[in-house]
Amino acid sequence: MDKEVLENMLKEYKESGLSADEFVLKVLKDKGSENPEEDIEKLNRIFKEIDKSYLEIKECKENGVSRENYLKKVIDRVTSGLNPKNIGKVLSDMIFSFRNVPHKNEETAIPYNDDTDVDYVMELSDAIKEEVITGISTEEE
Amino acid sequence: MDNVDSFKMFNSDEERIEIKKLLSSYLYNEDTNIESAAMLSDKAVFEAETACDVETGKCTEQDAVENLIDRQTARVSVWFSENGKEIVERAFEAAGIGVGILLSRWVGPNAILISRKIGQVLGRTVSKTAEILIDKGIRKIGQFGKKLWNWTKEKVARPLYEKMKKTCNFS
Repeated sequence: MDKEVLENMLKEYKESGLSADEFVLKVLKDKGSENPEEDIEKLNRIFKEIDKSYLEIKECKENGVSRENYLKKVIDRVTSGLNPKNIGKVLSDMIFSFRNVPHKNEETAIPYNDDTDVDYVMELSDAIKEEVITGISTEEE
Repeated sequence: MDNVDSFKMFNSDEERIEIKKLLSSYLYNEDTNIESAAMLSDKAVFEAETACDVETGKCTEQDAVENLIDRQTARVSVWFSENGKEIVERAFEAAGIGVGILLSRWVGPNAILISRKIGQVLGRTVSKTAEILIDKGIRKIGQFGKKLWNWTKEKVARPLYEKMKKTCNFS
């Protein structure tokens, strides 16, 4: 990532007189986005949803409900009715990604079901925590 | 340096979103789709603001770490809500791209360094005060993070983890 290029881009935006959306549209078009208007809508939606999810997590914790519980509700809602073996594979893959370790054979991942769901969610939550803590402890080279 | 007690990185929520969109357009490329760019932008901006909050005394290092973990959990929740069904149905590929690759754009060592650099640029762009606050705040959080990391490695975490598993109230 080039800090100077980003700094120049932000400077160009300030001097352009364009709105943020107009400028972003131009940048995305220049970069070959097939549907830059849709991409901007997606950005608006994602940022709004992250804010909402964050507040929901905070509210849960204020009410004595753990972050893990929240995560489990999301996973259960999204994967309801889907193949438990595939769910297990995907969650394992996510856990390895957050831990930045080579992925072991996904075929050996155990299915996600009533006996394993808590362990999966705890592992994923731990992996997220470890990734964040590793990140804040990392010094720039 | 400006009065840090009343320091705010952004004047409004709208301004924050505008910056995130600009950053996302910068990050967007053939390897980083718009969604990954959004996740990374949100990470960079949130970390920069959190660093400022620590340095101005608005929150402790411990609360900052907790907030960073909550925010990453929120991003994971949104990402999984958007992609989880398709990825599971196709057994971990969405549009032919593996989960690991999709996540690597905003998770892991590379994303961490990009986020840090964006934070530095943001600071420089906003003001000298912001630049200093972010730098100092990141260092403070980093020092706290190192203590946590050592604590985690020393197996103190394992008994705590086992206790957490038993006491987490899954409804």
